[in-house]
Amino acid sequence: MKKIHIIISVALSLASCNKYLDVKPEKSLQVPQTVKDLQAILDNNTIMNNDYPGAGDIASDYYYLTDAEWARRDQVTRDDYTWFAQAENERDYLFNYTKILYANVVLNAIDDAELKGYKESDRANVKGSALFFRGFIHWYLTQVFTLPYNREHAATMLGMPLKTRADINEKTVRSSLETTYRQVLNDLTAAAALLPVNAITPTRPSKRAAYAALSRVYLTMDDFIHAGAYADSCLQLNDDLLDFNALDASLPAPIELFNKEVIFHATFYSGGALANVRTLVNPTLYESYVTGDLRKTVFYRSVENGYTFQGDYSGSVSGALFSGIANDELYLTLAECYARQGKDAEARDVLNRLLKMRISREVFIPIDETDAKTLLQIILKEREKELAFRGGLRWMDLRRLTKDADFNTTLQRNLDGKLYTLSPQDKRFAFLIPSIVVQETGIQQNER
Amino acid sequence: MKKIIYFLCLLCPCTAFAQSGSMFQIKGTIVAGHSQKPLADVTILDVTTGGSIKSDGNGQFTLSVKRADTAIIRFSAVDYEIQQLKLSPPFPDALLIQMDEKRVELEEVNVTTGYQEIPKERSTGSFEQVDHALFNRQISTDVLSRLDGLMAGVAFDKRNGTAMNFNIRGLSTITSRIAKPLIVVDNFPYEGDINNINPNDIESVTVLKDAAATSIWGARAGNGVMVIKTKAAKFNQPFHLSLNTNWTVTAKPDLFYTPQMSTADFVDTEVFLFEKGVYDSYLSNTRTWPIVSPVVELLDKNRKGDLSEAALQTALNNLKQQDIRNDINRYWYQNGVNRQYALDLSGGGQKVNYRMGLGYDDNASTLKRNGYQRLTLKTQNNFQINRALDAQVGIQYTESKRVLNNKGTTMINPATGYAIYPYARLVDDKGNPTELPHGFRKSFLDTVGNGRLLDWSYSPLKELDMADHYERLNDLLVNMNLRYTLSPNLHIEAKYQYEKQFLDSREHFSGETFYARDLINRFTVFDGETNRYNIPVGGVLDRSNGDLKSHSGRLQIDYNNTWAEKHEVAFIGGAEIRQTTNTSAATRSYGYDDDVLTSVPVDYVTLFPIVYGLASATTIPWNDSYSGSMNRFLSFYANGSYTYNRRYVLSASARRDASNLFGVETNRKWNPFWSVGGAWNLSAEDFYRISFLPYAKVRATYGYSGNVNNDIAGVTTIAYRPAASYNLLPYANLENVPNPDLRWEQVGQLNVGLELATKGNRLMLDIEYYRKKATDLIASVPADLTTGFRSLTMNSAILQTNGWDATLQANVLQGKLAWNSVLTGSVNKNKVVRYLKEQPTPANWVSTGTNLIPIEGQPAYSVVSYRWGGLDGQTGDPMGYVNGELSKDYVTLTRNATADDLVFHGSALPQYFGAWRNTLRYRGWSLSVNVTYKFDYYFRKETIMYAALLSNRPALGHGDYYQRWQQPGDEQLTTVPSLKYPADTRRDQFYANSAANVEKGDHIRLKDIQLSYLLPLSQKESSTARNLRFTYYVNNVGILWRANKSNFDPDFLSAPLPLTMSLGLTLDL
Repeated sequence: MKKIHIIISVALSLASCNKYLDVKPEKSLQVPQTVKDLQAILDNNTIMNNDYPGAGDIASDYYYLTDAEWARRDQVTRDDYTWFAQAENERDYLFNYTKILYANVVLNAIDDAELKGYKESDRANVKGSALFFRGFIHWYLTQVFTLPYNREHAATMLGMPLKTRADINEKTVRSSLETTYRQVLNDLTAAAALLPVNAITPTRPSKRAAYAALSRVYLTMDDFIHAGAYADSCLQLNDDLLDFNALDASLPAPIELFNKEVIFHATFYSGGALANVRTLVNPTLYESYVTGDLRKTVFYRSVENGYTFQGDYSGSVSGALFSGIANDELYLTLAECYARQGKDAEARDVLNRLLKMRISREVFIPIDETDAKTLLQIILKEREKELAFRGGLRWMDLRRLTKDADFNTTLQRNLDGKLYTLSPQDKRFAFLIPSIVVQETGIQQNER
Repeated sequence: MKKIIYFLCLLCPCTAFAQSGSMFQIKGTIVAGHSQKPLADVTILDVTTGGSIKSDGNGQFTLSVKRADTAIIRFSAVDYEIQQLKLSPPFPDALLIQMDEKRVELEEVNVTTGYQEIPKERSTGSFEQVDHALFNRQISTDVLSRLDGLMAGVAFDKRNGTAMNFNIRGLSTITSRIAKPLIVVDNFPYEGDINNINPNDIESVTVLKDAAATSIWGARAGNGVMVIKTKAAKFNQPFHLSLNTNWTVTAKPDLFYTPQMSTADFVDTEVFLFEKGVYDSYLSNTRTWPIVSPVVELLDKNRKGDLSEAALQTALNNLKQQDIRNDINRYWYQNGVNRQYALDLSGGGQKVNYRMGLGYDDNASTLKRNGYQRLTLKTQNNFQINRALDAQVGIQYTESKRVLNNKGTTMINPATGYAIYPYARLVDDKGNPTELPHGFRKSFLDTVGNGRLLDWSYSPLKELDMADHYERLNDLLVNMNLRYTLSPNLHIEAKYQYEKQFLDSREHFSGETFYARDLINRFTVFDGETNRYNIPVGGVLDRSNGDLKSHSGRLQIDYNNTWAEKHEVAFIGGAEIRQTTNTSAATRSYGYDDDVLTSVPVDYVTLFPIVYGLASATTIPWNDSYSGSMNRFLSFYANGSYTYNRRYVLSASARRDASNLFGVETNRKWNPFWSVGGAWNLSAEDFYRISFLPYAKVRATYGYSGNVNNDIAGVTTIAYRPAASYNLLPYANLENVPNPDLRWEQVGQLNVGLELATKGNRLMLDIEYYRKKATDLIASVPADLTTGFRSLTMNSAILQTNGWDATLQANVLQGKLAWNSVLTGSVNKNKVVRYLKEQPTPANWVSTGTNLIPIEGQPAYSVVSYRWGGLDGQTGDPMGYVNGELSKDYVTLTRNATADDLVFHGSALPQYFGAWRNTLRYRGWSLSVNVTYKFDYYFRKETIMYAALLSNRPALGHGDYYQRWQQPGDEQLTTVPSLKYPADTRRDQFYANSAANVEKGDHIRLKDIQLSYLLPLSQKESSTARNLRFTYYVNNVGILWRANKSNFDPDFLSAPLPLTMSLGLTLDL
């Protein structure tokens, strides 16, 4: 009987020994608790820096597809290209809300995270980064899934579902466009206050990136004062430009990854429509570069039936194109904002500083246009020429200019003899919220 | 003395007797106990003298006994209990003997649960056993495939081409990774590769089906348990040697099974696409030089004027004659040959016994240059240390090598996702290996580098010859068992098992392989006249190893007692502790030289340009990775039964488990699993009078077991990864979102069984009904994309299964020609009774049934299609229904279909299945044939996908191409839509997933035939028979009947399991 007692006491001591069960089941698995863990979440480049929304670029006018090229693209790409009213962009939607989820997981935990050898400045950096991602991505989604911002109606227009907590059970509702923009501005402003001026790598957000993002957001709100101010603040911190005179246009990718103009690195997905090895630049756009404009050779390469793109800011030969933020965009934003505020001299100066680096020294003549409207016209045309194939930007410009009778355009596509058009007032400037989300959550679908 | 006898005679005047000398004659009548009818042919033996007689037709007999002595007389007859009488003088002169019919004593079968062995008679649960003979009926290298088609309720799902997927009584979980039954070898769950076990070492396999049988295994037993018992010797057993060898040939796979478009039509399609300009962007791409097929190259030459029209047509016509499948069949495949040798030695004395098994397998796969070798050694020793203490020590060692040189036909493909064109050839007319396009366009590779780069050509056959890839596995399993007898009724037992498995994988790409040459070329930089090799010239060596270690310990008390011959108690109770650790590491070396064993360091950090700018600058591929995991379990269990008067059995069992899984609250709650059961040996009752069914038993059980899913956690978890794509910093993936409510899956099961047997076990019926309810099933459910997830994994479904398992055994003939027939049948119908997620999108239900999509009220794996509306008579477009109206709006059809626009065909898994096995024996000959059947399920046929065919990298179309609609009127004859360019993916998807492509899967299959001959080597009967057995075995014979008209094997849509033939020889000495 004594033996049985022994057995029972052994068994009981095992039961109390919960320590035995506290060991981590998977070594690489971790419950995120430290600043290091949270930084690692945001350093997931595949999630946080790739697959920015691409539908707008597929729908943009800086390139075209031949009938055969269009025919062999996947259905989503074909639909986006022809502005098909029922086009579904699940991927753009999901992949970007995943970024927001990652940011929210970090924000949920960052205030209580253990430092474990890290500094409070690292905590501020991680928190600022997460806020940057959350704000920037919410804004990026508006460019695909909502109609262009309109100050008068923004309070009643449909915005994005806002996700500010990592809670899978939170009910999804669409906020107004005004609320969406306010949230975006809050996140980005808070991020700018927390982030260091420069990040150790352009895949991480920085104060410059937050300023640049704020400049973009205000530009889409037609708030040229703030857009200009943030662009200026950003350029005050760093106004480096690549000198195209010094680039070797014969290289397969003349512009390098992480070059000195890049503030924040990201790429977008285009379903193969925008493969730089085969996608042909819009001939009208190509013709608009003057002789001696180095972008003609740095950006484009001659093939049998036209010109393909090679000036990607990711330094890619084939693969996803850049959709991050670079200094050249800020020059153009600043120039436009000056022009819009009637500061023509400042506008010309900023524009010329950029063009000097883009046009061959032998032929460069500074812009001296004095007519305000023509000057604005020139700046916007330069924007089109400089930022073609740069993810998100052309579509953003097309959208914000729909409200401006002087500068809006009706887009046209010609396929198999059939003409497709997208006029400035068209509701299709907002792609459909993926129908499975609408069915799942009951949120309001965009009008058709 | 005489006086006394005389006196007796006077007392019994009616008895006629004759007396002669010292003998006395007893007369008597024998009748059957129940019927009171006289019994003939009863042997009446005078045990004292040895003399015997038989009763006559009236049951009467007269026996002479010695007058003076006490007589012992024994009465015996077939099917009756032996009776013995002790008569002392004075003898009665008349006897009336009642003979009782023999009780059917089922052969004492012990079933093993892995914790105890219990007599089947005393069990309340559902056990099914495959004994040694039945297990060895099939010939195979592995254990599991021998069990196919033998047991009711055990179904093998071979849709993926292997025999490794099986389930017991259908689904108990909807997460396929944890849907496997728990496999227990001897006493502990087996953590290693099940292929480590040599089937020649196996004594029996027991399947535990219901809750009473499985609940002792707690949280891991929800899918049922399979207990594999290995051979062990007995005490006091003479030396026994058995030698077994067999040889199996596996036929090459049938490459022509799936109907395909002809090469000629494929070439014409390429011509059509070329004219449409589909290849233009490839042909003009001089930056990344994508591959174009030879036909396109020819057409391009012709367009540029470098090739005359006549020459083009000749070339195209030549290509149209080819079919790559012929070359693949000849140069890529071979007949597989498996050789198996096994030696078995055993014996035992009074204090020690031993058993040793030695096995060697050598398999050559049907894929050339692939194979498998395995050496196994197993010993088992038992020691009787003293009266109270027994010890057992067993060691099992396995060493195997799997050669994986041939990665299949993907090696022939020009690029990932680009299937080889059908006119490719592996050898030229002279039989020399050909070069096929790979990586970059041939016209570029032919001119590139001016000799400065390594050869950049690709020849599949040469690559196959140079491939050098294998996995070595070592597994050591040590068992120790001590059993101490405290009293005859009480034992205490300690068990310990240690397992260590080491896996070492090595893939060597020598400097001559394309893989190494290609990498080196890409990373070559032309530096003036010299080359800078950022990846050094030489081979690439990938090594990885994985280490599994597990410790299991158990302490158990057994108590057995019987009182007053009526009360029987059996109890076990114990505690178990387990720890399994896995570690793995993978590394890569560049510039590796296999002759001198050297490698060269490389710079993994710098972004290097790719030669000629063929791709974006990138870092050298870095393949180092490490992983480690540790699982711990702690369990307490008890199991007891009480039997009254050998008629009524009550059983109960309980178990609690805890583990170290992340954040699952249940871990700490020690959730109990339990079962109760009862059995009634009806035929033992006095009132039981059904004479043709002398054995009858009913039993019923109810209880719970569980499923552990250690992939998901209840808290947010991240997984670290080594280097992010741009900044090369360590980064983390989000693996789990918080879900504090996460619970272990529970499976509750009710089981009711009836066992019947006729006299002499001529007919035996075992029939069971069960009802399983699996709750809290963890399933991946489609999520609101706004959460950032496409799907979320959570406790979300309740699955109910109703089923029947029945086995009918008949010894039809029992004479010289013996005929044994076994029919098993199972009904297994499951239904998702509740799904906690709202499902607003019926279109998402459309499925081929290979993935689980829970739909309330439907089977877990169901085939759901778009309702078919026929073909449009004018265009050949497929039509479906939207809100009951015919429609060709494929966007709406595929996106917004309502439940009414869909067809719910039924289960994708058979709901009725079983086997009918017949064995004939005559002298030494034995012939056994197993026919299996599966009924009541559906499958979806593959069909042509025009979008894949009409692409810039056309994939060879399905043979339905020839059935396509081509002109008005065809819609009466076919359902295959017309070819349309540009192809509409949604139109393809709609047709492929429409009801037009679903057929019934019902079929009857001749699974296997076994013929054997037993040649006795010794005449005299001894406890060990010496004999020689020859066996011939054919497996996967073919389908006898099928419901579908398309001639498909519904179990294998892409390629059926090939026929195998085996010859075996067993020598027992």
